[in-house]
Amino acid sequence: MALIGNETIGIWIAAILTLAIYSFLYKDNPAYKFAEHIFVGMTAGYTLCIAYYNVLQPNLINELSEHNYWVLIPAFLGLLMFSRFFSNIAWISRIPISFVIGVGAGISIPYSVQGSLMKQSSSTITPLITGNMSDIWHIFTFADISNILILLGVVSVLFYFFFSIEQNKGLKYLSKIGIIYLMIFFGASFGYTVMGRVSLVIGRIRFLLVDWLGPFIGLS
Amino acid sequence: MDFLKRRVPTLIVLIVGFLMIGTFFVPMEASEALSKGATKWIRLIAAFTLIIGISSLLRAHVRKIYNMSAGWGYSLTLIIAFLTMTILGFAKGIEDGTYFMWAFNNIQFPLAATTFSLTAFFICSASYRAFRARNIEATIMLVAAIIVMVGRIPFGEMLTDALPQNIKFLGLDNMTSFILDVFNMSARRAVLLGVALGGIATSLRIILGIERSYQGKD
Amino acid sequence: MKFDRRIIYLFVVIAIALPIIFPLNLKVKTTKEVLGVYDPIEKLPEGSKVLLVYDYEPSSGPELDPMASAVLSHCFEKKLKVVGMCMWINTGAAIAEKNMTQVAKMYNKVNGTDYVNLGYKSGGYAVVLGMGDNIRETYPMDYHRRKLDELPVMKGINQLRDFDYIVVIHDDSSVFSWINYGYERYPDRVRIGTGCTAVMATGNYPPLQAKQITGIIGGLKGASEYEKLIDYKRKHGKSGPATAGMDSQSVIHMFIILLIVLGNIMYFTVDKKKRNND
Repeated sequence: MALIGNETIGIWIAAILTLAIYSFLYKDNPAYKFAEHIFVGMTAGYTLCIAYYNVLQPNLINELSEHNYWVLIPAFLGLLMFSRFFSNIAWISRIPISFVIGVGAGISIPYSVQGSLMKQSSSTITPLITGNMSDIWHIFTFADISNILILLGVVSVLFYFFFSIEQNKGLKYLSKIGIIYLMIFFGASFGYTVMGRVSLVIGRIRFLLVDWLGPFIGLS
Repeated sequence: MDFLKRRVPTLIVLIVGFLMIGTFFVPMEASEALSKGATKWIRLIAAFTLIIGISSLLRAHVRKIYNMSAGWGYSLTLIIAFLTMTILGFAKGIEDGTYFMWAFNNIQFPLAATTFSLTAFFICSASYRAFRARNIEATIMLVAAIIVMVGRIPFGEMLTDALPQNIKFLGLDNMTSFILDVFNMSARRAVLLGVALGGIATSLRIILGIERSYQGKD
Repeated sequence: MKFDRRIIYLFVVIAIALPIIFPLNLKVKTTKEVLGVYDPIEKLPEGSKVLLVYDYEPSSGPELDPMASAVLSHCFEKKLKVVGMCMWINTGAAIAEKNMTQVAKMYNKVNGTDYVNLGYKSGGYAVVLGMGDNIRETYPMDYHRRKLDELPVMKGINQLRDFDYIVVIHDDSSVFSWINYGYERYPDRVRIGTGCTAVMATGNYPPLQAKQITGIIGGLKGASEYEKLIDYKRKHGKSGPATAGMDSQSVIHMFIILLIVLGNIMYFTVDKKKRNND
């Protein structure tokens, strides 16, 4: 047990497990599978501890010790969900699930309309000509051009996904503009996805070179 | 029995759903108390769903060990890891400085970070093998990706600094900002609006009992 | 032209490792998105209250830990009161504990007096709604199982609108819960800035343009910009982890572009001949 808690031992264990996971890049092997199963098992154990200490203890056990017995109702509903494991009474779990789904669906409608629908729509409909109307070269500012492109983009992409009517003649061109916007969006997303994923490898390789091998190769 | 199995859950969703919508439009103390109470119950019930997820996982692996199916040794590893983390957590607590946090920092955290970082290698391999400018749309996507990938690194910013002042707007980092602020933002917004509308429609279908897939099979 | 993908993997490792061993010290420029998070915190007077939400998994740690540390360092330098929590992903609780303890040690800050980690609460949107009504009912105790009333840092913080600024560091869509159930309920009081993985950053531009959030710290690049803004290198004698990673990021991006260009050249020349012959 004295080994647990030691920082150097911790770094070595982390490094060995990191290399075990990376061994998958060569080919699937027992070391990778071993590390993967340790990860899943530890995550499950972590989740149980956090669920107890952060939720069940303060919001259930402490409430009961302070005689707030109303918490027994949601606790009972939560326990009903375990009926899923028994096929002959699995239907009982529908009751707490229905409650959760009902609350979620009911609450989400007004807040989605307000936050996602109305706010996003109103931010799209902005003034398009705010420049100097008397100067022909300065009628449109850069912001106006951006706003025009944004309005065009939102409408054309929404229209591209409208499959209920036949998209022919002029409407076909609006749809094509939508595709161009979508392709640029996918390209930007790909670029950022690469950036994001590569950052993770950078973090791990920095750990191996600086934290683990650093004292030996003079990098820390 | 069909009433209890099917009708009661549908009725619960209908009543609770409309009550929750009502609390938003009726700003009374009673509706506020109802909304508060419902969200309190949700927070507690959600904790039990975490435990159910863990139970399902353990059940599957214990069954594998019991039947000595292929790979049961790995399942045993999983159970041992689970028990170790649970015992460490319940024995000495979960605060900083405990064995639980040591295990989290030196085993769970590195394993999670490394497992996810594998995707970067696959992206690089896929970039060579699959990212082709086969048509105009794919070419537009490719060009946008390259502009963003160069524009968002210090090297791209250095290239912009090298440009004369009057054409600095053509610099890669400025073009990246324009792509993100206009094209990316518009497409994302359109998708967001579509998702919000779809979510609202689905929520209404669930509340009205048209959509009952959450009840599962009989 | 096909060749073993493991050769590509090897080159990826080399492209990342070489700038770590031989740093290029490339300069980082700040963007308006990151300034959108930095400026509101910079303008806060001493004693203001900041909510720092750690809604991410360890798998996003290498990208998000540096930005969490940078934002927390900024708050500590400004002598702000910081409350940490998570509500979407339960691993955020331990990540918050680890990160806050580590950074607090550098600034001699005391847990409970200068900062606190409230830990995790299940329920997602229900937590944001609950915090909007009463924080103590939602979080009766902190991560260390102390009652919130006993903690000096929680004095005057009863509801979400009592915070002067909220920074949501996330690797999924939890910021939309904060926007819909937090900002939209109290738009004149709640201000939100977001830090996220690069993958999620593009999705946060609509709320940014709609002014539902003030700024975005996107990925490791965003974190390096924040480190530059807080003058990390001068204060700590070495580059921050995000800034140090930008050298490798630059090299690997150019390598990937090279791979894409090479792949397309092969497709349009060598492979085209093969396809025509077939």
